[in-house]
Amino acid sequence: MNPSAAPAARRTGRSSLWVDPWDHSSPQLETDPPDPDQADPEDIDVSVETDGPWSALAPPAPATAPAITFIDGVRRTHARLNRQGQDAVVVPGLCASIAAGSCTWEPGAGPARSHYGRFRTRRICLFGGGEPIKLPEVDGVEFDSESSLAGDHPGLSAELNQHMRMLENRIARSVSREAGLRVADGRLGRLGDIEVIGYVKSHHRTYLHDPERLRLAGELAAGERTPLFTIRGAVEVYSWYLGLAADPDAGPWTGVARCEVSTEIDIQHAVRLADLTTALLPRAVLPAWREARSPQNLGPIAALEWQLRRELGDAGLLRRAIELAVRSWEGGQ
Amino acid sequence: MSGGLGQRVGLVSGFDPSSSGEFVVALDQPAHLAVDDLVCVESAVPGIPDPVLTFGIVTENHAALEGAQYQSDTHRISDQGLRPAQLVRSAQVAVTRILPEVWVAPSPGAAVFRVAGERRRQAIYHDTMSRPLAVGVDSRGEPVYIDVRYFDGDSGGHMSISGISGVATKTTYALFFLRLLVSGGLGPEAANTRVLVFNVKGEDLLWLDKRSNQFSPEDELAWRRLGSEASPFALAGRGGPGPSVSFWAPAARAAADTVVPDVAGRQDGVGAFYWTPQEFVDQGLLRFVFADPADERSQLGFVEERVRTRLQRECRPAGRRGALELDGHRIEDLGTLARAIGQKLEPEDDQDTDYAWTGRVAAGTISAFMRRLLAAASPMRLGRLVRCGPPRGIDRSLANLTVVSIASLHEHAQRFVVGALLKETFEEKERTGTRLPLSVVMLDELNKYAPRSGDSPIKEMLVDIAQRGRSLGVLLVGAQQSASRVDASVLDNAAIKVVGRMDAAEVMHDQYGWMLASMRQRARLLRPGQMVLQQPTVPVPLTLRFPRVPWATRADEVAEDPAADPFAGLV
Repeated sequence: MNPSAAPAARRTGRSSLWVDPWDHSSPQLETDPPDPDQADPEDIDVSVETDGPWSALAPPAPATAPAITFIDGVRRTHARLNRQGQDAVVVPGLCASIAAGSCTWEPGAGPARSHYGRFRTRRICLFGGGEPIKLPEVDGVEFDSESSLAGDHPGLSAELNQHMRMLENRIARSVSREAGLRVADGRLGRLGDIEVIGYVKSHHRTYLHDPERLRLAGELAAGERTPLFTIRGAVEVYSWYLGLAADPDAGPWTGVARCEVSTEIDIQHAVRLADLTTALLPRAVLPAWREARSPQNLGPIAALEWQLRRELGDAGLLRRAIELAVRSWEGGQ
Repeated sequence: MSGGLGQRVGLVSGFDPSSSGEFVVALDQPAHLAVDDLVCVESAVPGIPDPVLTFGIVTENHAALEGAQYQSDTHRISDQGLRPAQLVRSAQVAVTRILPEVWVAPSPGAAVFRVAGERRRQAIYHDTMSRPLAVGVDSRGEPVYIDVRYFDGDSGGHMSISGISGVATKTTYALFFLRLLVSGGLGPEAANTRVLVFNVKGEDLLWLDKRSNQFSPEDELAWRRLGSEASPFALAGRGGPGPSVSFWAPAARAAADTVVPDVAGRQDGVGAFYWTPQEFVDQGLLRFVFADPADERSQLGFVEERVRTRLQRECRPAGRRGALELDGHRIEDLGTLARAIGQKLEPEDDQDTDYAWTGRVAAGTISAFMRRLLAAASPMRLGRLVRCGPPRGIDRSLANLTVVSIASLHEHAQRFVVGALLKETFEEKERTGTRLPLSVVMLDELNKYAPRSGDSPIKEMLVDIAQRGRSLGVLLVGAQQSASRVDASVLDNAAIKVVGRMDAAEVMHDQYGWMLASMRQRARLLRPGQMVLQQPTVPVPLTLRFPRVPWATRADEVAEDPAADPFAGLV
């Protein structure tokens, strides 16, 4: 048994903390969990841009391509922890790092170029049961203590995702004054008056309930989009599907992404954003051999994620710091 | 303290582990380091009160787009702009010195400085040299030094220069170096130093007293920065500034009574030399008639030695012009000498055979000896070098530099002259027994005179000079295309080694093991005027440049002399 898994405070007989021995695997790097919301047909309005049947729209390439700033976040759980209180109840926790940042792509610059913006990272020790735990600093590694009401690991994971979203939103705010478009990974959160386009890479849910429209969206060619439709929910958005890369041998939806933008902006502007993204984003598609999540994981996003994972720090060193911190933890007296 | 270190160029990389032998510099964005640049790092090392200074020389440098994970990412980064990437430059550094001498690796993250001032002197060990002499400049125009103690025999001696032929680098650098030595580099002894230079190709070295039209004001500035005035050598007897030079060439084959030097390009100021039969016999020069390594393998050497001794015993002077007489045969040149010897070795009647001369060797060997001797006596070969007349030996006391042109001679005769003059030089120093004033010999094509394999009297003498010359004050500046073909003891005894542009295959030989791998790579790319220098005090070779020389190295480089123009001032 790994020595670090031994309850640190067994001798004291009070409260103990240990690294989950069943999780002595390589550190996990998670992707976003699927959005748990459901989309009811009555929350969808497909007639905001076009009345009647849909056809694919192919907007012309803009004369001058604006810069596009991609915002994304990554997270890595370094260790799952368990704490047993004096009441003998075992409470789950985790130590994770999250990072968010931006990468601005300037397709209109000659030659095209891209550059990273600011990065933010946080190290979080998140415990369920509503009671945070402060781990001692080891080797300069310090975890912010956060607590959650969640009682299991999936719940903690969702909570961690919220922290990452918050970090992404901070990045979005920090780049809100930059020229060009802003494209954030995933569904839009509450961002107030900041104009951000949500970019959804996977299609876990069906927003279109009419078979004709669904087929049209799934078979969009590169540079084509659907008309706008609205999705009502916590944040009401205009949304559109756009084709990134058409591969007739692959199934439908393989080359399609969905975008959304808050309905707080007017519809003409939303249409303009839809046209720009539809014309420009296919240019940033990486070949499948270069990027496993191609075509949706665009070049600048893949680069940003790669860089953000470096920002998370060295997994081995962090794991070691956590194990040492857990051993020298003297809470609960 | 870091203020005195110089210009910061980067940090010791934490990505590649540093060691006491080498480290990598992650360069600052606006800074660069080129190969051969000298750097210094100040590291705090636990347990050592003062910061440890690590000096090094850049051996290679790298640039990459950090963020590119595949070769093809380059296009995504630089053409399509789909990935941000940082252009990173780094430099590989070989450690040359650590102060205090604690062999620890420099601290990763420590600032790296380009050396300047005192730090530069420490980096190139200038502070340890008791008699530094600037012998070139580095890529930034700063002087590079040698410690003269390692040339003049005090702590070491001799210089070896290697490089391909044709770029005129070897001879030019040798003369540049010799000039620095005799115009002050050797200290108070400089003026009395005598240098013997053999001109083996063309008449390139017969213009040392003429100003070059290639010499630019920048060159002049470079000379001044090296602490030496730039002027041609002064022709002996004509006066003028700077060290003096005298030129010598073999007497031309002409009427018996006129003695003119055999030179094509130059009419005045060249002395003619020959040996009289008496000098030839007294000095035992027959030895250098059989100076081909092939002669030593056969019994010819044995016969030659006997004949040489017999000649010295039995020849009688005949007249005042250096003629001899042997058993009634008058000897006035090499031809008559050979015939007189023939009478002794191969008499018409076998009964007359004198075993004191032949030493009972096989008749075939005697015939071979005579064939070689008669061939050598031909005017095309050595014949022209031995004749009767007033003594016309080369007078090395006339000037600092004595240039002897042997380019017009047959190779056989070249060996003879080199052998005879080396012997004279060496014996003179052996006689006086004092190291000072120094006698320096500059000899090109050393691989011909002291080859790696085979023996010859000249090689024997060069080995002797290499081994004992240091204490006698006879120093060799040897040049060769390929050091790998030169006798090992001649090479090994050269404390100072210089390499110019090299053949790529040649530079991979063990003889160049002292060069850094990066320098070996680059040795074939060195331009004329660039050399790599190795010396005992500095454990790392340094590359240097040297300015053009103020004297002409070819006839067409001779600058017009307004004073010599009869029409000057008429217009």
